Amino acid sequence: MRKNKWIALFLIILGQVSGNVFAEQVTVGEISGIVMLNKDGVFVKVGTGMELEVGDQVYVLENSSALLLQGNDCAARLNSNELFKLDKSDLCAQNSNTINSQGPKLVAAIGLDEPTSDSGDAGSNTELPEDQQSGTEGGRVFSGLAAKLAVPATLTGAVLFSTIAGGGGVGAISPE
Amino acid sequence: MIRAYQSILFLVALGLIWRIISLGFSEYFSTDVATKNIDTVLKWNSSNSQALFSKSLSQLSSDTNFFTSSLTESIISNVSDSRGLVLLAEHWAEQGEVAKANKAMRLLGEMYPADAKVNIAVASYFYKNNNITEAFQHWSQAMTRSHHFDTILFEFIYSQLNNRDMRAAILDAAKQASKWWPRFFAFAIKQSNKHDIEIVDALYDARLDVKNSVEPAIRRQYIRYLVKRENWQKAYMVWLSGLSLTERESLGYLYDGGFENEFDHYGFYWHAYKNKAAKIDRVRSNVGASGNKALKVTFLNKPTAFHHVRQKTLLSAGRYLFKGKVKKDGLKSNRGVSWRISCGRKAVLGESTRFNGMEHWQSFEVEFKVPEQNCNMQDIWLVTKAKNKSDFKIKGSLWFDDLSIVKLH
Repeated sequence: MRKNKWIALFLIILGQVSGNVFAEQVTVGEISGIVMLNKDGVFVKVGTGMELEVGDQVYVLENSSALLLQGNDCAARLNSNELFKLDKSDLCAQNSNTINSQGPKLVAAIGLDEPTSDSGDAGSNTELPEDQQSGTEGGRVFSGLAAKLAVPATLTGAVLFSTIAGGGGVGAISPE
Repeated sequence: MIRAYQSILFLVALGLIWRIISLGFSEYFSTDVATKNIDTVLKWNSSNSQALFSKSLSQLSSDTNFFTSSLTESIISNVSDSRGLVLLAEHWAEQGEVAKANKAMRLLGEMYPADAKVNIAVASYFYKNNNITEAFQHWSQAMTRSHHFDTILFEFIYSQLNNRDMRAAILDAAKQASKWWPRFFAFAIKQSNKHDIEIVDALYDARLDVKNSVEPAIRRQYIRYLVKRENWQKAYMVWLSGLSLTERESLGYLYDGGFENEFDHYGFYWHAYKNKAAKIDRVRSNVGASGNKALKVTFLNKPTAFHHVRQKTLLSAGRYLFKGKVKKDGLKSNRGVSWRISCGRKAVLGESTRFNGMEHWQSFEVEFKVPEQNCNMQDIWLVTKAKNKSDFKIKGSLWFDDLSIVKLH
């Protein structure tokens, strides 16, 4: 009984270790614009085909994008102004470890194979929300200010001209 | 023959004199139109536009036919005066003749494109009729022509940003790079501290969409806005995107530890604030240093709580080493000067040895640890060590070069 426990523990550890050791390399598939890589404090410009290691930080500058690939069934699209840190060797298992609030949009296949039910961990292909900053709705109405500029419904010359007045003799004429 | 010619000339001269006199009287009385001298003015000059305009106004409530006819006369007699057409258009709108009113308002916009007041009147008309797109075009024209209406128009537009059309219009203005737009952006940043309307990010993104790169002044304002909101990572990304190729070569956990690039007072550059007791310069490196430049701080023997050279960093949790080279050039201080690393300005993470005295270029280093919690941004700053007032008085210079931060594994 005690022996079985040790075997089970050994298998679990082996599974974890082999998962890390045999995971395929994460590479930069395609780049648009300027993408920088911070490798242990040294910044370099990212080029296509560059390999990433755990701990690397990818900075996608304004109006730029990058596609990270791992094997044939995992890809991550990094968008403009996004900072991505590769925390795990398994790119598609990392969707909860993104630095930027936008997160990488993990797409199982971008120009590659369609995702299939047996392609691995279903959760790993979860798409994170679109750019959250563009969803800024709401606000306040300052009704007093609206009245300052909107010409009142009832036509009165004085009010109308006071709207556009500010000199030039316009305000000197009174309809009364 | 000559006599007849002279008579004609005399008659013409007489006519001219009469015209001059009548116009003169008319103008004289028209300065007092408000005090009911309208009829006197019109007696001397029946086409005095100001008098006709006032006369039509006086008949507005009692005789609309007279109102429109005298207003039309007023418009014809002086097309450079926009008021008549504004009033007429408003009158038509009031009477339900919307097509005519719209046409008149659009005509006004075309006739007086450079007149900010007319544009605001036209915009007000279209806004009242729920045509925000057209109203916005005229506000935009008014703001392009004049700063005079900035405050009131900016406040009004900002207050209406929950309206989808208004929001779309202001974002579109960002894309069209309207002349007034940077002023509105600055206004929106100021307002964002007071109100809960989230527009600044969208404005910046809209500008970015079309121009591919925003103006340095806009970027600077936006970074300051993000820093104020402690949105460090976004601030860093926006700052990073604005760096020149040369500046990008100086990136690292610490930016430009060799002081090769200019100081600036925003983002993640080296900040060097003015101080009466010290002179902060980037000077040519000398033997023992590297690159073209080094930092030189000269203390002027005046009391100061010095903390005027600093840089923000965004280090993730872990152990780091801050290192560099220092040259002490006759520094006389009770307790010395040192580099301090802290979370914001609060928790001190590490501090270098105190620099004092005279010594050629030497290396220094300090190890520090960034905690997991509550330390998203760190400050690296040069500070005086002091316990009492006399410690603040410092004389001499310090040179620094090759500063860097490395991660310890």
